[in-house]
Parts: sequence; structure tokens; C-alpha cells
Amino acid sequence: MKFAKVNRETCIACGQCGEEAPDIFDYDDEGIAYVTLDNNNGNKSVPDELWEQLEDAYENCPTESIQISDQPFEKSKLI
Amino acid sequence: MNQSGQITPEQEVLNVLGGRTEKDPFLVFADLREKGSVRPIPMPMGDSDNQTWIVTHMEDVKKVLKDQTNFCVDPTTINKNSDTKQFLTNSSEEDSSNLFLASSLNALDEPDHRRLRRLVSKAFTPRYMESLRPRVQEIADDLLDQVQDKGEMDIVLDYAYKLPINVISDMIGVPKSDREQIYEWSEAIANGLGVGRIDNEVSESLEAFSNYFTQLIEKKRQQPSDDLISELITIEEEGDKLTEKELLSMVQLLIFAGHETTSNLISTGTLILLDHPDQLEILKNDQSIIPSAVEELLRFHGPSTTAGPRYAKEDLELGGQQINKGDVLFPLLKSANRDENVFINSEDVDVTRDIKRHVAFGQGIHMCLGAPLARIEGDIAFTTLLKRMPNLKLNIPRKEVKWQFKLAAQGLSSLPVSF
Repeated sequence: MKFAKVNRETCIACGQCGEEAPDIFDYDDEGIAYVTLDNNNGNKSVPDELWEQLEDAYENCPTESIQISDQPFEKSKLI
Repeated sequence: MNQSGQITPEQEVLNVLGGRTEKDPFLVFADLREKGSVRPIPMPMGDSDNQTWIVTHMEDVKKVLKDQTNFCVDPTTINKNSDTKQFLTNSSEEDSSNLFLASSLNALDEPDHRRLRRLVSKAFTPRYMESLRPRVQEIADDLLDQVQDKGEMDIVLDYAYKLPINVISDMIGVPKSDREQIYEWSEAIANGLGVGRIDNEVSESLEAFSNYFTQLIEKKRQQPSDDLISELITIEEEGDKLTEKELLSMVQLLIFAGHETTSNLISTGTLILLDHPDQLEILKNDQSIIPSAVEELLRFHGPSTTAGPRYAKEDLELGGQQINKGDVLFPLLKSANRDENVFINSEDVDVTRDIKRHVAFGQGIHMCLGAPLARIEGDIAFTTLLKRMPNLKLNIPRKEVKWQFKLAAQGLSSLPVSF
């Protein structure tokens, strides 16, 4: 299982993740990205078929604002 | 020169960045990459003991651009009394060249950078950029309508520069009648400004540019309209989020960065395609791959040669070199994008290449704010050109196409074609 969320404090609204993974990321009115699966809470697992997209977005985020974990974020230590 | 009288790649790269050599910059970058990822360059830095370095490999370029703990863009973050910035920009605190080069978003560290970027990033959201597509398409079609019957045009003058300047001027609020003048100043700035180089025309143009926008802001203050300058004025007048100086600096940066670079992408990209007919043919047959072809053109020969200088905040090791606190590093974007360790056949252009991991837009918190807009403009510019002018050909002998010094390396000031 993989879980993902965006650190919205460090996101610079560059639009890269939505290019890589349009089925996972969207932007708020200010352009700051979030994970659409559960409103960026990081507790709903990313479907297997989107893992490749997720990996691309993760690697290409210019500010390393995308966080990925094997556990839901409420249980993990990563914030 | 070294002992054998040869110019070393470390010396030659300074000539490239300052426009003092005719040599192919990509050969110089390849020589440097082979010697190492991080190389000392003989750049005079006044009284400072600090060394200047050029960073050539993708891994280290990304590291320098992303790691804010160890690197910054404003030397006064390290040492309040630093005069390095004034030295590099050859200007004093109050000069218009300093306002443009040293006080704008790309030369500020956090938290000022974040405060200012947030104010404008709202106007550059990917969603908003997408909504501009029909308008960008309309501008592209209008420009080609004007030349379609003639059977020939100059890609640079008739298309590549006019498309982005009209898009960004619409957004920011520059009246149509003033755009020609903006273009002339921008050209003088782009053609006369390099690393360690500011031509006289640059200072004059920067001053004229700055005076123009001071007056335009004043006009918009009296008569606001539906544009970015008016929005920023409201924010400035509300209080502590944006100073008047920052407002002026921001508007100038957005205009300059918003067209000079994209215009180079379109003109240089067109020449690359004309130079590689097999690649051009692939695109003519399948326009759906144009967005990824734009990424390849950005990788192969993007508009920006180097990111702005970074300063080491601590003593550290990078690419096997000992870097001291206060040392200056130039992350060479065009070299990282040709890194043999990252791209197969990196010196070849291949529009079917599946990549997005280039650094043409930079990386880290200063990554190009206008990247989503540039991508849309690139997509529409090439799609429309190839659709409407499928028989595009160079209209002068290839050897007469002249690269000229632009944005710290090569650009085109003219590219005559027939169709």
C-alpha cells in the first residue's frame, strides 16, 4: 500500500505534479497542490495502477513537497 | 591560459557566459562535465577570498538548487555586509539595474521570497494558465494570418517574440501601443547582460524600463483595470505584504522573464527542428506528441544557460570539491540537461524521448513561476506553426543563420523562413 500527501507549506504551485499525475493531484485556488483521494489527508491508499504516476510526480517535485508512505499518514511519523 | 597556451574549459566557460567567444557552448560544457561536476572558474571577485565554481552534472545542479539549508541566492543572508551582489551586478543599491537584478523574486531568500511568490503565484496557477489556452491560440493564429499570404516570414520578429509578449502583456496590463518599445528594451537587456558583463545599453535600457513601469504603475493607481498590476497595487496599498519597490521589481521581472525566454524557446526550437528534418517529420505526422517534444527542446537547448548564482552558507563538500562558506556557484542548466549519466545519447535531439526530468525551468523554490504558461505557449506555438505551415523551410543558407549572445549564451535575432 502507498499513501501520499503534499506538504502545502513548501509547495510553490509550480504545476509539475498535476502534469505527471493528473489522477492524484489537483490545485486549490492559489495553485497549491493537494492529493485528491482524500483531500490531502494521506489516509486513503493510492490505487496500484497510479503508483508509476505517483513516483514520477514525487521525483519531479522541485521542492520535495510530495510525501509518500507505506502507512496512512495519521499512523506514520512523517508529517 | 594554461602553461601550454591553451584556453582551459574553465576559462572558456566564462567567455561563453560573458559572450566573448564564438565557440559552441555545448562543446565547452561537455569538456567541463568530463573534467568533473564541480569546477573552479577564474572569476575575479574583488577583494573577496571566495572561489567561484561552475556546477555541470545534473545530480549536483539539482542539489545546489534544492538545498536551502546549505545554499542561498542572496549573499547578504550569509554576511550582512557582503558586497558580492553589487560586484556581480556591477551596480549600487539604488541603481535600476540593481533593482531589476538583485532585488527581485529570484534573488531573494526565504521568508521574503515566499511572501512575494505567493502574491503572484495566484495569477500563474496551472488551472488559470489552462484557461488562457483559447486566448493564446487566438494570438498565434492572428500572427500567422498576417504573414500566411506572403509565403515567408521571420520566425523571430513575426512570431516567436510577438506571441509571448502579447500574452504576458495582456495578463500584466501593458497597453498594446507600448509593447514594441518593451521589446526593444528587453532585447538590449538580454543581448548585453551576461555573467560579469553589463553593456552600457543594458544600464540605459534598464533605466528606461524601470521609468516606464514606475509611470505605468502610477497610471494604474489612478485608473485600475482588470490586470495583474492593478491587483498587485491593491495588495501594496493594503499594507505590509508588498512594498512599492518590490511591486516595481516584480512587474519588471514578470514582463522580462515572461517573454524573453519563451520567445527564445520558440525561435531556437524552430531552428533545431529545421536542422533535424527527421524530427520535424515526426512532429508533422503526429502533433499529439508536441507537448513532450517541447520538453525535449527545453532539455536540448532551453533558453536559460545558468541559474542565478548560489552562495554556500557553510563549508561543505560538493562533487568531490571542498566548498567554503561564501563561495559562489553557478548551476549550469544547459550542461545538466546534456548530462550523459542521465540521458541516453544526451547530445542528440529526439522528440520521442520520454522525459520530464530536465532542469530548463530550474529546480527548488526558485523554479520558474511561468513554467505552466511557457509549456502552453510552446505547445500552441509549434502546433499552430506546423499545422498552418507544413512546408516550413529556412529561407537563407544555413551558414547565414547567426547565433548571437543572448541570456548568457546563444539566441537568435532573426530566422527567415518560407512555407
